[in-house]
Amino acid sequence: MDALRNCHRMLVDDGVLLDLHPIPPSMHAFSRGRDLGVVDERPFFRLVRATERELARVVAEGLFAHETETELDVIERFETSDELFETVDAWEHIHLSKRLRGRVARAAPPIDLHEGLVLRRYRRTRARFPQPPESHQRRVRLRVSS
Amino acid sequence: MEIDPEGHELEALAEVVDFTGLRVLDVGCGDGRLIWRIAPQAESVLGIDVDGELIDTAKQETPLALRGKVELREASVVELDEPPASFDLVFFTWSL
Repeated sequence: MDALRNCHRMLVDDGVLLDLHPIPPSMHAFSRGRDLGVVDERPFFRLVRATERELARVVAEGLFAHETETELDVIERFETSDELFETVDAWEHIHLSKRLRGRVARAAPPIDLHEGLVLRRYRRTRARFPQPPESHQRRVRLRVSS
Repeated sequence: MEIDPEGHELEALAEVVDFTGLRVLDVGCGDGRLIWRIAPQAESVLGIDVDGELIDTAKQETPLALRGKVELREASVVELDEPPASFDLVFFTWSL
């Protein structure tokens, strides 16, 4: 079972699925309002697109209904450049170029990462998995012998 | 490190859902930063993440007041085997 079908199974009827994730363009680093450059999130956004396709698929199948969508800007503030490096280096599929790393290292703290996010709300609908008509259902009798 | 110092994320969340009394599954909860914000209103929160180190961090940082209603597990949502209709809300959080 895939992730979204399992969520559908574990949710009550009319339950809510919230999806919060980054959206392009890639985040930028700032120091005191000065743009230091862009963080390379291209591999990450490929994953985002794949997940969005999965969401679109389960909506098309009638498992969830898309209700609302909000875009927001979020800031992640680092008190030192080392704190930023440690955090970003731990993220998968996100990369700081040498040039940006140098600019961040020389910049006056705090360093902010500005990121765009989208928050989508979906409503679980009643399962609409295709069911064969009663007359076409196959019954299997198991014989158990000891 | 301070995330969302201007509170945009929380404002947006409050606009789209009221967590009061809900049984919440937080998928990709990481170190739990969003759980601490929504758990006070929720009935219960199960936070899962495939990164065991982040789950350990979240467990250590769980506020005392929330320990009765927050559960944290190293797990994948694909394999999570909670009973049907266990949750009112599933939250996929893969930001920051």
